[in-house]
Formats: sequence, structure tokens, C-alpha cells
Amino acid sequence: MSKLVLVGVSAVALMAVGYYGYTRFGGGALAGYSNTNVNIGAVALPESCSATVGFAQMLCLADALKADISPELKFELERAYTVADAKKWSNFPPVGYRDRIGPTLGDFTPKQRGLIKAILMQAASLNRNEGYDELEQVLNADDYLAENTTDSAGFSSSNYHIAFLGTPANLGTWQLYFGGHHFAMTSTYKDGFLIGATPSFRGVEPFVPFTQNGRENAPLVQEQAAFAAIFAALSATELSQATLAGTFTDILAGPQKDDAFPSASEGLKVGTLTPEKQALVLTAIETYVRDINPVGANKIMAKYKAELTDTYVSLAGSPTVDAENDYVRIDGPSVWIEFSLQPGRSIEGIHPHSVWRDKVADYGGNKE
Amino acid sequence: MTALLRFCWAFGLAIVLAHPAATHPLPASTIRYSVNTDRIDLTVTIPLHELALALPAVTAMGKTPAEGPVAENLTPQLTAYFNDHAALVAVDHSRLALGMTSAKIAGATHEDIGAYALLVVDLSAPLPPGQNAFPLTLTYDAVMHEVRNHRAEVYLQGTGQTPQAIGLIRFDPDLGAAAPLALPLP
Repeated sequence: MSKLVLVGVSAVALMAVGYYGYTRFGGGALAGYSNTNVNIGAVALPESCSATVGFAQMLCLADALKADISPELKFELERAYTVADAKKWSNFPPVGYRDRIGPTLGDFTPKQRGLIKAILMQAASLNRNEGYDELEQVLNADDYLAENTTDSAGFSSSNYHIAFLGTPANLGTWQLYFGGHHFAMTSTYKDGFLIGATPSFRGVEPFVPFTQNGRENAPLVQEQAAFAAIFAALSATELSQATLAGTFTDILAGPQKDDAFPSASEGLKVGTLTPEKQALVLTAIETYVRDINPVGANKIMAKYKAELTDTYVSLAGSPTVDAENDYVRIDGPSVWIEFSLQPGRSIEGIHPHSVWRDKVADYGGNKE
Repeated sequence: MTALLRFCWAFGLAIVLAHPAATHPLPASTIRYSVNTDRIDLTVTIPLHELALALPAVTAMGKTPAEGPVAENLTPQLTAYFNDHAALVAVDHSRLALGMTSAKIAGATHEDIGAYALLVVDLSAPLPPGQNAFPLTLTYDAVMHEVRNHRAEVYLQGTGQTPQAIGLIRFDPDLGAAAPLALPLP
């Protein structure tokens, strides 16, 4: 699909969306950030660490990165593990949230960005439109916004933060922190094993397929389609049971809202559904869990599958999940997924905010 | 407090709540109360685009309402709306006569969504003479009776002081309503 064409109208008109349309700030690049397109997809992967695989390779890559950067940059990159720092994630672009930690991609050389890319590819899955590929497309969306709007919100692939909370090692607790506008990865490891992959935030604008950095991008339409498939399969009675009262203009368990889970689940209990419909719910859950490395994803999916009959699915708005204020929730004993379609902030249309949380294993289950 | 000061407070607080350290992905409502000798005053700010989902009548103001007083023909509907969605109860369980005294449109900004319109409403209730009615109980669910992710932050405004955060009102699905909030004396 060809690149979206932004017609030559004023920025205010471009950003007028829905009722009482918002108007974004105008202006240039955001101070304190590189504000450049690092085109992570084109960054060359390193040859180092190719003799290792899996978690060992990630540790090797982390050591190689630390060995290649200045002491000052290493001081920013690697810090003590605290849940307080782990909680410093957000959906906002840099202008809306300044508490993220660690250096940004723009602070590294292309060679070092190759090591970071390899680390992210090791932590994530390599499935098309999921995992690392989804991450790359979300960053491409920021480059798209930087090139096609006059926003000064700090859009750019260079402006995504990376940090090691704790020292990457076979023993002890550490977290791979990566995040920026519309993206948060919080993969927590203990003694060589993934113990938590949440909170995990995904959003994207533009939502419709767009061309940027030499490729087509549509990182979250798979999630939307998986939800719509669930509701399309439900009977009228089931759909009624799944429908929540009221309107949702945003997710509940967003950044800095770690206490937002209601104690009682709402909606349609998955255990009442046929095996075929239950499988559709599992497929939707997989569009989140399969973002991470298969070793960790298999373990988490086994837990969510075991809890599936006690999991609830619900929606507000239209069951086709394609209009402003459409909202979906999957709420189980452990899993919590929300998907919210919101007005375009910088360009016309709608765009999703979505979060995957685990009520037990958020931040690896750590409290401090 | 003069109308100008009230406007400045509302606008200033909107900016404060839009600070990067704020916890709101989207702008929340705010309720600031002050206590005088014989009455309690509340100033409520609500993002208009969220209120429009709960009270469609405000869409009559148009897509870009001008700052200033709300049109007179909307006043009865706003009065009725806040009668239905805001109440104060004294410690002896008697309900105070809370009523809207003014409503206006103000501009505000938010880092994520940029410029937007706020409805600024003043509510007031006489305090029972000769007795301590505090702590009052505020029951409030404007907007959140429909928009379930909406929140209202409550502040106490002492004379010449920075507003003091008292609590957060939000829809509780376990209750099926927004939980009431106790308002202490300054």
C-alpha cells in the first residue's frame, strides 16, 4: 500500500478528530532527544556472540554492548534493579512522559544499535507482525509521525529508551527495559529464566497500514482481527453477556495504574463457550504472549490455557472492534489484556492503545 | 474568591494535571472544594469531550465552543445533571442543598492530546448552622457513570494555600458505582 498522503491542510485541521477535536502543539524537534530516524530495521546485526544461542547469547550481547560504550553511557544503561524504576513506563511520547530511564537509541553508534537490536530480537519472538517485527513497526510509526506531522512531541525511532535494571547474568534478578511512544517492554529474568514479561504496552499511530523505512507496517491489526473473530463467533446471547455497560475511552490498567484491576471479573466466562470459541480467545491472547521469546511464551501460554475456563472476555462498543471508543478486555486469574481504539492524536482516524498485564507476574512478581 | 481567580485556578490545575509526571493517560476531572463560614464551594473541571459522551446535550455548544459562560439554554440541563450526579451529606446523614451557581468554558492543554475545552462548574451548598457537618461525604459520578475509565481528582483549597490532594473518585465495577469520598475540614 502506498504511503499515506497527508493533504496540505493546516496542522489544526489535520488533528481535528471526533467531537471537540484536539489540537496538538506545533513546533520543531524536542530538546534533549536525538529526534532522528535510526531505521532499526536496516541496522546491521553483529557477528559477535554467534557461537552462543538463547539466553546465553543475550548475555553475550549485553556484555559486548557494555564493553563498547563509554563509562558514562554504561552508567546510564545499567543500574540497580528496583520495581520503582521498572514502573517508569508509559504510552506517551517523550514530551508527555519524562521519567523513562536509560539512554535512547540515538545515544549509540550504529554498531552498538546492532547489538541492541540483537538483544531485542533475542528477548522477543521473530514471528511476522509480532515480537521484534511488531516493535520495529511501532518505531517506524514514530518515524512516520516525525516526517509527516509538525508535532513537537518527540516522535522518532531514536527516542526509545533501553536499560538493564540489574546486571544481565545467569544468576540474580534483572530486567530488560525498552520503551518509548506506544511501546513498553519489561522482561524480567531471575537465575537465567524469564519470570515476567509484563506490563507490556503496545499502541500505534497510524493504525492503518502505512509505508515507512522501506516496508509496509501494520503492527496491531492482527490483535484487532483476533478480537473481532471472537465476537463474530458469539451468539447473540453470548455477545450480550460479554458487553460491558458504559463507554471506555482508554484502557484501565495503563501506565502508573498498577492498582486498576477490579476484584471481580466482568463479561462472558470463557468456560461456558464451545472449544472452538475458546480457541479464538486463546488465539487473541497469543497475539500478546507470542511477542516474547518462544521459551518464555510457551510457559506463559500453558498457564493461561490452564486458567482459560475461569477467564472472561468483554467488550464495549461495536463487536467489529473498528470504531472510536471500541474496547476489549480479557480478564483471567492471571492474564489481563485491554485494547482501546481512540481518536487519532496526530493524524486523522483512530489508533489503538493496548496493554498486556499479568496480575501475578507483572514486574516478575516483584514488589520492590 | 473572584470569578477571575476561579478561572485561573481551574486553568492552572489543568496544566498541573497535564504535567509529565501526572498519572493520567487522558485528562481527568478535578474537584476543588473550599470551606467558608457558612457554606462549602466546589469548583469542578471536566474535559468537554468526555462529558459529551455522558451528557450529549452539551454537544449543542458546537465543536469548538468559545471560552466564557455557557449558553443560558443549557444551564437548566447542567443544573439537573449535577443535581443527579453530585451530592454532599453531612456527618449526621443530612443531605446538603448543593446547587450549581455558574458554568463556563475554559481552554486547557495536555501533553498527549494538546488543546481541549474544559467545562468549569461552580457548585455551592450552605452548611448547617451551629454544628460541625464534617467530614462531609461527597457522592460524585459525573462522566464516570458512562465513561468507566474516567477519574476525578479531589483537592482541598485552603485560603492562600496550594490545593491539597484529598483523594480520587473512579467507577468501581465491584460496587457498580463510584465510591463516595470523605471531605475533611481544612
